[in-house]
Amino acid sequence: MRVELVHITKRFGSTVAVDDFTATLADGQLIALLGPSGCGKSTLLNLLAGIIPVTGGRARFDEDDVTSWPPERRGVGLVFQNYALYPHMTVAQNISFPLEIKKVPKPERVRRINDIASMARVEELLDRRPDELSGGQQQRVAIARALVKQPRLLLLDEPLSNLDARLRLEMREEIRRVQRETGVTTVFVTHDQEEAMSISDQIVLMRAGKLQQRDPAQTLYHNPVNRFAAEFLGNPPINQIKGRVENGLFRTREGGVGIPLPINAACGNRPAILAVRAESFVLDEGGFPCEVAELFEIGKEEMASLRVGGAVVRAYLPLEGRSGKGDTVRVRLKPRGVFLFDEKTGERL
Amino acid sequence: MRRTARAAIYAGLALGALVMVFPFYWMFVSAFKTTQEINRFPPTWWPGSFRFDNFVVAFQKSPFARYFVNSVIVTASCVTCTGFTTILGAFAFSRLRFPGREVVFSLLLSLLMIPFEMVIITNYTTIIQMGFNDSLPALILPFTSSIFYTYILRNFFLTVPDSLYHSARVDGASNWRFLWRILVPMARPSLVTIMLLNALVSWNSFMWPLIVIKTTANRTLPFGLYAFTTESGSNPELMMAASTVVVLPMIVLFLFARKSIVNGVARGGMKG
Ligand SMILES: Nc1ncnc2c1ncn2[C@@H]1O[C@H](COP(=O)(O)OP(=O)(O)OP(=O)(O)O)[C@@H](O)[C@H]1O
Ligand SMILES: [Mg+2]
Repeated sequence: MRVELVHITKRFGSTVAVDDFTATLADGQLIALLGPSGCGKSTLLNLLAGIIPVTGGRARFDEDDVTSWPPERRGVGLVFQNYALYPHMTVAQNISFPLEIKKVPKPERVRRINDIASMARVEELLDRRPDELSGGQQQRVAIARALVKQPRLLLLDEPLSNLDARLRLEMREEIRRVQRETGVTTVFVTHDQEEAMSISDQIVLMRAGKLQQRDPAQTLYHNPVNRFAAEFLGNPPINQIKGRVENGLFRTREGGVGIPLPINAACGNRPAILAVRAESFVLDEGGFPCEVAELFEIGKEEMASLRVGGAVVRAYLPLEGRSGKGDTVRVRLKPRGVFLFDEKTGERL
Repeated sequence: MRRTARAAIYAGLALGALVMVFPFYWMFVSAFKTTQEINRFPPTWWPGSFRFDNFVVAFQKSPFARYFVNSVIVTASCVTCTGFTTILGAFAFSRLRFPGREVVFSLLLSLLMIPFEMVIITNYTTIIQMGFNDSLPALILPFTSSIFYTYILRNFFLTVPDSLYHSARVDGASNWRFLWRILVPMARPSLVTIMLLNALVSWNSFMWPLIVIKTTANRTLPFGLYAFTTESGSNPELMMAASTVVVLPMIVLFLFARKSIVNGVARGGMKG
């Protein structure tokens, strides 16, 4: 199902939790709703589920305007951060609950519970109660319960945040698999950029209630619209150097060398920020000089801290055995992963 | 040192329990004694022979079977109605949003200050105007809701996380379904406690029946027992037999409900 949000706004008293949000979510995709804590992700999800009413704007599911529809009419499945399983019911009863309400006949109910339980891998748990399950098991039950009624839209609110690192990875794959198998349009809330990058078809990036960018992970990574988007994605975080552009060279604020820019930068002489991803540095005899401040190894990657003008940047460079701390190396920037932003507005230049 | 302190505590508790239980014990054994034995001095701790006839005679002298049935009808009706209105009220005051909710609830709470004795006359005239004087409905109608129980249950409902409510709504449940399928089962321990207290109060209610009931056939047990003291002459063993019949059902009810309360407390709780 296609979801269309048009100028959606939600105010709680004087706080604007979601601010004039307009986006279309394509059918059958897994969309990650990404943003820092408190940016309005849960609020947006609850608006989609119909749990809270909008202050302004319209929401459309395919052809239906659902803005004023109550949750039970919308046909969405929702998994809460705390899973919200009914504590007095067994797993089977929990999964069965939405079907009972839809008055699905018993034999079909049993069949669908068994189908969904085997897909979510909770068959062995059907007779247990929620307080007898681990966090990961509770989550799978919650997903099974959300999916069993064959929703048009599946909403997941940080479903992995209670799990340990390994289980997170595993459950991430599970969610992806289940989503592929069912083809249900899914919105997955997270504040973890890596999680968003690894499982989603599209990332919707939010900040302070406002939509920043909606693109596939790779586009978002390689073509951020503003400084916030560039900062939020990528590990290590993107390097940022303050300065201004002069004659195709970037001069750091502290002066020193001019960095030749591999990108077109028609931005006049205003204060700007040069953002460079760690993998966008290459060793080049014809490049600009910088001093090696530190060398690390992270897993199989070699990383160096370089001093450029007054700034320190981190770069993936194969320096092992060639240069040491304190040496000067010459590098240039690749065109990919290098961006200029306005220092004041953060807009891409 | 700690052991003696502990022993002292247990001794104190045992003494307390004894003081509480002794009257019941005395009532129970006296109910089986003969007239001679009950008047004997020093008193016997255990009946020489069990005389079940006391119950038969008591039931013959006064229509206790009728009183018993009346009591059961009145108590069951009061508990059912109060339970129902309490659940609905608690839900409305905890989950539903409507203008003036808090004001109305505060007003209701302030009504708790007014003792029942103060409204007896008003209730009495109301019952007469409704034409229910001297009938069982007169014993039921004024006790079909309770602000205090509503308050207790509402406080429990407030501890249930919003996400359960939202989850149920998204699962397609109406408010009504959510209340009966999720909230009420979760609140079972509180509910059982409330209904038990309610049953006890209703079963033992004396003042109100005394005022509105004239006909013998409409008396409830406590009223009947009171009347019996004058009607039975001075036969303490018959009094005790009748008292046993009054007290026993509540004791049995408590023993059953206790299990349910403890089970309920052990359940519930949500991880995460
Ligand atoms: N019921 C409410 N009443 C008042 N303010 C609220 C309410 N719900 C959310 N807010 C505010 O709206 C903003 C967005 O909250 P929201 O829960 O959507 O953030 P979030 O992106 O989900 O954050 P997190 O990642 O921490 O869960 C916050 O400033 C929050 O304080
Ligand atoms: Mg949230």
